Amino acid sequence: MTFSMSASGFTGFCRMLTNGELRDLGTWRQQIAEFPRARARSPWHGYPIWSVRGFAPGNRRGQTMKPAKEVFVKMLAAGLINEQQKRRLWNGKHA
Amino acid sequence: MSHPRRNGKSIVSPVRSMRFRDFEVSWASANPYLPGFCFGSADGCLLFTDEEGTRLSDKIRETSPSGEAINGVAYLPMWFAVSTRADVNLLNVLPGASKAHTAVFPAGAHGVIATRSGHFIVPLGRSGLLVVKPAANTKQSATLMSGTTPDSLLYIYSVISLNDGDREVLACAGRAGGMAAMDFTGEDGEARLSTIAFSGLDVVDICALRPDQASLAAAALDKSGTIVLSSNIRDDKRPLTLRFAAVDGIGYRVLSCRGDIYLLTSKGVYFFPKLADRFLNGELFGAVGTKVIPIPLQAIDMSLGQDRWLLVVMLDEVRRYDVQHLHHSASDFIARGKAVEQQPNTVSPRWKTRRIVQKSKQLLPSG
Repeated sequence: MTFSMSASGFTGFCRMLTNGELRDLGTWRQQIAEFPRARARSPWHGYPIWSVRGFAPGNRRGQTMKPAKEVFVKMLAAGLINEQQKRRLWNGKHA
Repeated sequence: MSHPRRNGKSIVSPVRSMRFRDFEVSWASANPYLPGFCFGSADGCLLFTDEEGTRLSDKIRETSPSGEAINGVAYLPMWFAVSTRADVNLLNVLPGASKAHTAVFPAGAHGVIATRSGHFIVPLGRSGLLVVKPAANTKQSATLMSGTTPDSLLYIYSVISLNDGDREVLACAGRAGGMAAMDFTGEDGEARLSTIAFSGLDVVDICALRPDQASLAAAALDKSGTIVLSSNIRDDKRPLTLRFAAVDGIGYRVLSCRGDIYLLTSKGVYFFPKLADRFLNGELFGAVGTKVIPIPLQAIDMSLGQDRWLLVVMLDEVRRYDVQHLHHSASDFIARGKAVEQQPNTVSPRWKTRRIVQKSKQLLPSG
């Protein structure tokens, strides 16, 4: 499921395991992936990010890479995460 | 558990629920100035209370310009550091200071601690460690300590400060990179970080086993709830790895005081009476079982307040446990059938060690 974030210009994406736990997505155990808006007819791809602001790897260095708080509110409303997971992600912690 | 006891003039309840109107708690710790607590909120405010949770003042709003949830507060004389997933904030509480908010470092953090050498240490994940030594009457600066090559990077998720009487040692939870430790001599120059890990390990928290003593003993928590115990986090190459079947949920935090260990997972608090003492006294081997007392609840964080209180941040309240009472009540729990006796599954993984160089570079605050 995706969420348009007009303010930040990206969409957030999250997957769940069947027991309600968030899946680790990347080599650094991230639990969220960012899918930037792609140009028309360009392949749409995403990459794992942490919920904390930081330095991005490689050619994305310098981007803040931090989803807005509202992304997690929308994920909660959509039933993708529960309140405990939302609050953990708001704190920049794993859920 | 349910009977209040007298402590001086006041009656102290061993368990107390604290709720605050217009203040969604994201972080809890001891008040550094008075008996009581400091709470951080989901929108970046601070609140100070007494030990019963009564507000001592209005909430403090100007702690983080990002308005993000506070995930750590640390104190040095006259200084506060407040961390969020967006920034690290330095607040000056010097008498007569023109403004409290002194510096903002635009780096998302997983928490913040203070060391006895007078530094704030901030785990920044893949970016490394931020080191700040605050100084009065000057522009603040910080030092970023991190690996410089792809294979020398470590995801630093939490950090503690230990000492063996001579040296100050920083010990880190490094997620898949395992546990890490380095001698800390200040913010300048190079540091050598020793890591120890095994395949599949995901270290999410670390704590001192003798927080009130000169000791490098530490416990680490794997995301699956596995506990790793080391009598010397700096030099130990084969720490003891224990898995208890009674522990359920995603591992969040591990804490130790009075020789006991507390785990927080997504499913509740797990109290291990005397587990730290038994490990450090060499009594954990053989057929002797370990008592585990599960306290089912749904929480987001947990901390210790002045070696006296266990503060569990839940979704709509903070629960305050008297750790002295818990420590002496283990036999009551057992008598009432609230404890599980388990033989831990001792894991014998193939530990791998690394030594990686951390280089320093100076950072200036924004603005």
